[in-house]
Amino acid sequence: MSIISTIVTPDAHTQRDGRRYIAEVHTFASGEVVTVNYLAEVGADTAVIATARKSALEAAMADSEAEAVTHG
Amino acid sequence: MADIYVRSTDGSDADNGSTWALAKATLAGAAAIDAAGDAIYLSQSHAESSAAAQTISLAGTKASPVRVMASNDAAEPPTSTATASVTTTGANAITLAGSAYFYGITFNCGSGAVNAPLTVNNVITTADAIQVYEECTLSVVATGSASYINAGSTAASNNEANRTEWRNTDIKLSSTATSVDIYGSLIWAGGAALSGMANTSRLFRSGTVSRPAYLEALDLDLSNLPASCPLVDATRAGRFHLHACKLPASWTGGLITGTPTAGFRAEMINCDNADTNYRLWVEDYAGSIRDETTLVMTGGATDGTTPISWKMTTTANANEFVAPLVSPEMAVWNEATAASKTVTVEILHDSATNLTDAEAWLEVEYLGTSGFPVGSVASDKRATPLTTAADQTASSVTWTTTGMTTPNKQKLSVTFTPQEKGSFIGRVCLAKASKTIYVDCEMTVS
Repeated sequence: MSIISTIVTPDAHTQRDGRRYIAEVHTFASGEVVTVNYLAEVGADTAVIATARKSALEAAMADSEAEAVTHG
Repeated sequence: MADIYVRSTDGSDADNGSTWALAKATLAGAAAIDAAGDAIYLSQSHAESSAAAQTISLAGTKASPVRVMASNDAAEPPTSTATASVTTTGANAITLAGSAYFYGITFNCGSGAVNAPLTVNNVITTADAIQVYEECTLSVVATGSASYINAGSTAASNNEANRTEWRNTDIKLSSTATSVDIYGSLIWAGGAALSGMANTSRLFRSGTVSRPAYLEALDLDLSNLPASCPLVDATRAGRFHLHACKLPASWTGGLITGTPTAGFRAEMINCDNADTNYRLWVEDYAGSIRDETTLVMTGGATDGTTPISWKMTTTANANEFVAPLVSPEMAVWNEATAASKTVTVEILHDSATNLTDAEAWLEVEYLGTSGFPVGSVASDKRATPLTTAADQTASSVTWTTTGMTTPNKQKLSVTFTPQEKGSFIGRVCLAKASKTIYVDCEMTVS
């Protein structure tokens, strides 16, 4: 199952050490929503991180669906 | 209580294991003859490997555990510790049962793209059990999607009563679909995730959907986890506490994966990949709590260098009656007795609408009974569920309010009379759904 929407929302402000809280919200075609929060390093490319996670979440969902078929 | 010797290089399971010369060849061979309280010594040259599943059922009890120790075979009984290994290959699991203490042993489980779970402290009788692993390595080499490390019994029954401890013990998982599945309780104090850890979907989870797990993870080096590895599956109930752990560089995995169930809470205290000592992260059904170093109160909480507040954000699940978001505890020692005390916590939020005493409140536990350590709780929550809610008190302290539209400063305050010396233990509760507040996490007492 594919993810139809990925929204990356950074905190409005950085932390004192320059890092910034990030919220990623991934929405699957089924409507299931996966939210991932993390503290991004200074200079981190949050779009690249979100794209990589999107692929990983889709793969994990495929594994989960396969396991459900196998084990009922 | 007997000593049983095991050495794969020249031992035989047909021997009686009573000396190094008559050593057993395998740990399973020793387990076949052991009794409660026995000591099983694995030689430093012991490196058994089997292409068959290994179910090692030790005869130890909680009161009289079997001790399985890697040791130097220069003496009988040995006088110094060593390392040894027990390995299976292919789709062959390792299962260890019975109350026991293990020292210095590496368990390598399975190989190839097959399922080979490593199950420690598997309860195979109606009795609960304790297993402790010290200076050990638990490595699942097989890459099949069911190649878990199971801590506790995977059986439908008896899986809450046991206790598993890993002390200075390292782990490795090789499948991205697996995790450390906890049945009952796991205390992991010291150790590491080894290099080459798979980018698992989560490091920990309750082994079963319907039975909560308990994890205490202390002083771990988790820097070898892949950067995007989340730590805990929130869709299964349990209490997960991580303290003083080193996290991966550029970690983006997050504390949890999935949406927390009602019975879920994970707390990560003082864990980071940088040189900090104030990090806090709580994930709960009712919301999350993070450390905050920019929106802070002037003259408020600090680690000595960096000013700190706690950012509490509720989900839509939060409510006053059954699901407030409860902060970690704040403690202040009190020496005075029989004198009125007022404890105050400052909060900040971004709204012209005040928070009421039905939406945010402070609870402080104190010793309110003379002669006994009986706790009492003072709260500025509204008196009853039917009492009309009132605004919490406005405050005039100074906060950094970067990015806020309508900063609103309020304070939570309770007054009571302690009867014994002891700690005041405070907790801020936020019950308004989908709301963010910042809490100065230092109680003031007057």
